[in-house]
Amino acid sequence: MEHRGADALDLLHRLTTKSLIDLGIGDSERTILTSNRGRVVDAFNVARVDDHVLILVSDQESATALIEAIDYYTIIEDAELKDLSDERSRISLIGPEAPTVAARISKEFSDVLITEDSSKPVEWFELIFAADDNPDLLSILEDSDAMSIDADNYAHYRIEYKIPAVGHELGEHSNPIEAGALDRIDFDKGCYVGQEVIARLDAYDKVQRNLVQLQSGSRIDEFSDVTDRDRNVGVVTTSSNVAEPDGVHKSLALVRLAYVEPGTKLQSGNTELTVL
Amino acid sequence: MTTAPPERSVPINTIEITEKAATKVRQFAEQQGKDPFGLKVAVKGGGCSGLTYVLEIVDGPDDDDKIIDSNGVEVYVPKKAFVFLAGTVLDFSDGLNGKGFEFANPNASRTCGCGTSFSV
Repeated sequence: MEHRGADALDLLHRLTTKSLIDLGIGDSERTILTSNRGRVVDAFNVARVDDHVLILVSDQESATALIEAIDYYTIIEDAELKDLSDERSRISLIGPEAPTVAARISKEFSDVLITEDSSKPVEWFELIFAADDNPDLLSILEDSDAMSIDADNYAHYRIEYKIPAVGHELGEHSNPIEAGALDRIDFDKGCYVGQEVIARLDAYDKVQRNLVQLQSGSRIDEFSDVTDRDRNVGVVTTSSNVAEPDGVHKSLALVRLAYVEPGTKLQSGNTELTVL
Repeated sequence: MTTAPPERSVPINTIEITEKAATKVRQFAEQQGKDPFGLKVAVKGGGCSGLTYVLEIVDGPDDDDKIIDSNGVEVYVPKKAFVFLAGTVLDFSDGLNGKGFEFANPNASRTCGCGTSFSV
């Protein structure tokens, strides 16, 4: 999405969890829009490409939900959103060689927007470019031994590094603290939508769940209940068909705090789970 | 966050400022050396509950402002913000327990603890 206007940056600063007001041209930041009840609406990267022009990169397949949410709060502000989904493509460049490859692309392609996502525990860059075929860019990626991965391997990677994603850990069913996005919240920035609820959760230690890795003998379906005997204690948020070398499967789950100690035995249906 | 049913409201085609609030507005305008002046009352995105009140002493209305006269003060409300403010009473409370300007907004279903933001 393109967010254009003199008030665009200030508006996003007032709406979302990260302090964006000092974002410089060429800089980017990952932030979260929450509801006034502190639930996650979307997590997205904000790249400032010009004085009054921002590019927003959402993890959701459709930009509609984020556009509608920001539009709702745009009243007297000079700020306008445009969906660029049909005009732009996106590649996430992930891994230890990502900075080198990103630097090379930056040098050779002035029309590719490259933003670094420092919120991730691994090197992570987003490449945004014109949606029509870009064979030269793809050939540089191949030339650099970059490997394209499918959804299952991507999920496996996220599980391994406990990287929360929208539509899985992050959504209307969760708040950002329990979903592993605590570092996406600036507690001293002042008000934003949902701030009062989130600050209270943090200050009074009221967070009820935590993001954990689970291990099981087979794949557990996403959004399956996690139970302790018959008691519901959590939900599986990400799973993958890709197994570990020893055959076990890992998944991510939001689990009540009393059950997050490593080694805790839980169940999902008839399958036994172990908290890692 | 608290729900805050307004104690008072006025017909939904207008907003009102109380005599006490009007007096305070005139004092602020004088301190700022504005004459003539008007009170811009608006709403912008942000704040714990999602929508934040805006109050500003201004020289005059903008093109898309609705103009309301209340207790001798011209009130300018952007038409896009009026839908969130229709029927509101603006009051002022001072003293040790006073909260300053206070909005009794019949459209607000929830307000934040400090009262500066609301949701509808």
